[in-house]
Amino acid sequence: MITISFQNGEVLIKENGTVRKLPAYKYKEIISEYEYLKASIDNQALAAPKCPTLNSNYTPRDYQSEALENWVQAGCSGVVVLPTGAGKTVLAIKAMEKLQVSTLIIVPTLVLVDQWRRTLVDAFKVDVGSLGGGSADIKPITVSTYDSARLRSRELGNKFMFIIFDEVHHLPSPMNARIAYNYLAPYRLGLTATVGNDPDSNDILFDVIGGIVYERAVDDLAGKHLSDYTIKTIKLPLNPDEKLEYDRLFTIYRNFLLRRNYRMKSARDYLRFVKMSGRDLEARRALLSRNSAMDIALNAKSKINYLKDLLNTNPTEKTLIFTRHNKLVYKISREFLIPSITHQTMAEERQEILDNFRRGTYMRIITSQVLDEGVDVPDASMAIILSGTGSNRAFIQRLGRILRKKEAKKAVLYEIVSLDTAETRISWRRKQS
Amino acid sequence: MLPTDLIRAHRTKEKILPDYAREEYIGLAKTLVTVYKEHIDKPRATLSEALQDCEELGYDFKLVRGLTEVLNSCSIFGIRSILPALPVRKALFEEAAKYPVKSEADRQKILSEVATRFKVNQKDLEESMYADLLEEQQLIDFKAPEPEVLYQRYNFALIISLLTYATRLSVSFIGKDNKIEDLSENLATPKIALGKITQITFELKPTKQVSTRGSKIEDIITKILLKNDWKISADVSYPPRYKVPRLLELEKNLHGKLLKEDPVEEELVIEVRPSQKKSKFGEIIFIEETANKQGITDRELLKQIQAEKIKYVDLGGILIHPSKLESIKNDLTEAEDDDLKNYRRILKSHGCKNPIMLLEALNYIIEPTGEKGRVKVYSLRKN
Repeated sequence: MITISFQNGEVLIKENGTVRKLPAYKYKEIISEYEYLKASIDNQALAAPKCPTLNSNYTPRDYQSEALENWVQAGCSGVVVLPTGAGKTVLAIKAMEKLQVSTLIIVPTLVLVDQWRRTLVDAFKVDVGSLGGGSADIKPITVSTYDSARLRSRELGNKFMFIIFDEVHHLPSPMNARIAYNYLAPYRLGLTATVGNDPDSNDILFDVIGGIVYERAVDDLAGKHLSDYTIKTIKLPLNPDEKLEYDRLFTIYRNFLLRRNYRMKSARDYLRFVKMSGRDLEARRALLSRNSAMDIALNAKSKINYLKDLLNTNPTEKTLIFTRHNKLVYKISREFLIPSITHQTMAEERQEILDNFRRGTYMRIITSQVLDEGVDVPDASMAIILSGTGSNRAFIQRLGRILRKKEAKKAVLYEIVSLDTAETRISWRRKQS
Repeated sequence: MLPTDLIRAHRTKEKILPDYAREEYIGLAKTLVTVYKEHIDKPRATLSEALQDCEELGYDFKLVRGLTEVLNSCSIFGIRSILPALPVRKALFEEAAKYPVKSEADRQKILSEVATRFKVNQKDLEESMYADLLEEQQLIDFKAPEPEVLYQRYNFALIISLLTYATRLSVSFIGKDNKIEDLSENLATPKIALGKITQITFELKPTKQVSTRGSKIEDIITKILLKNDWKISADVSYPPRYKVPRLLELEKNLHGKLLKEDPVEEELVIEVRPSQKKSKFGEIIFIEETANKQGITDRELLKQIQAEKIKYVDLGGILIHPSKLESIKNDLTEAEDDDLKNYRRILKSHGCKNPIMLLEALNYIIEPTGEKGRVKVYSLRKN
């Protein structure tokens, strides 16, 4: 007789007096292997609580049904890639209905823990537990932050049959990956708007969850399921003073690279350059000059003037304004008296601003990067990216904020870029998918 | 202690040699002190910009930032506004939602309207709008250290940072000291050899909880520096990627004048709040520190606190006003992310001078992520 048990994030296989230990996520493989061999096993590994009946009134859209079908065919494991606003939560609910087993939903922020809990209670009318932010209320259906799920993984690793990873692109980090390794849940669903391009991260992701079983891009759903949209990239020149200073600073940086024959081809090269600046004065001066030059490009005065015109000509559009740095958020908030949300905004104030935006009391919000993901932002019809990073994921998430389908809605995303500066390349990079 | 990324030291075949701040940097010390003095009553953001400029003076930026860390501990930052920021913002945004700002004239009209409602002038209203932001806090007071003292404190902080990477730490001094022995127990199980000279040795495992270990080592070394003929010897595995440790040796005769303990972090944020009965010791009292500062024993301090007849919750070494505790707990629960910097900011906004100690008392775990400069905070508290 082979005995299979769970201990501290590992599966223990006792056979003929020997004990083998394997990472918990191999559980499904182990069981199917023994089933194939028709071996007699005493399976003590799972200690999942009984799940209440899960039924909801949600009707999936055609692409959600397709995604669900593909995921089931893949053995109830895999990653589904759908744009923001396409209803990943509905897909998760339908998957839970299908399986009817104890489920752990793992999300990146405490705000999302609350959002998911509310949605699941509404959908299934059952008690939903939460883990994180000082709360440790474990129920057959529990929502947890990545951090708490990781910290409790050795203890809770055998309590859930199904794990849903929301914003699954957070999973491949060395710390978070431990969640996927330490839980033995045989059914796994990863949800995201974009999978990254890093092959190492993707290898981890596909190993512990399964490959991409369904993928739809914004353009696949725009028009029918998501709003039609237009992206308008506006390139504005710097004013003469800004241009002069930008060129002076950027030349210091460029000359440094030329002198050292240093090629900046990837993010890793840039990280090496930043590291070098820690011990090399010249590199440090080059780095600081580059940063100051980018500050000028990202926060150019012409952008604020253009923003002013855009807001004046579109007074009835619900508008989200995005910047890269908080400094610009507060400058614009003061100048136009627009509510702002940054990482410094306390939860209560943030909720009040978002509620007022949802009700239409506020027609505009300005934010830096905190609303890129992890917060349920009410629907808007216009987004203005005054500055941002080269991240394609952030761009798609920002775009997703204006794509919720509404009758006759035509969403517009304005991307305002400083002409003849390195920002044009950042803008190009973030639009590559 | 200094953040790990600001440690300046180099390794030889056998030893690790800290790059001490010395007299040759007198110009830099004077400049930095002047920058702080010139920024009294000015926002933190302006001070930060000026300090950033100092990094381009040609000195090692790690030295500049390290000295700045020490100077921050001689500073008091606070919120200075006529009105609390939140209601001002709310009123302005609501008014602007009704009458969107299309021109400067529109803006002025709204400001004037809201200022009248709050019975303040427009300038005060504008200044209050975002007065609660970290970068808007003003440098209220700055106790300028002499350049020599600044170096000594910097060197002390540098040594403590290095010692957090020790795998063996040995301290010795003439005589006996119960307090040091008690503090030693907090760090690890010490081997204590008593005699004319007391020698205390620790075998330490590498830890990810650098800040926690640092503060425990700091407690011990602070006391050691007050003793006669002290010696410190440690095997230090820094940078952590080098597994073979190097010897760090310090002794009073050679290094005594180079080092001076850092004062308790003085950064304090004062918020605009309705008046209430307050203890002269504040709403959060770190018993040992406060008693030391007052030059009295813990017991005497507790008597004085009892005499004030203000109720506190005892967190073990920390007394905290119940309303403050509740408000801190709420804010910590709402913390946006798990970065220690975020938790520090929250606790400092509550006037807490020793955020790490308070976090630990509230059952939070502080753990470096391995990612440079990033330390995570977790709560294991169960509801």
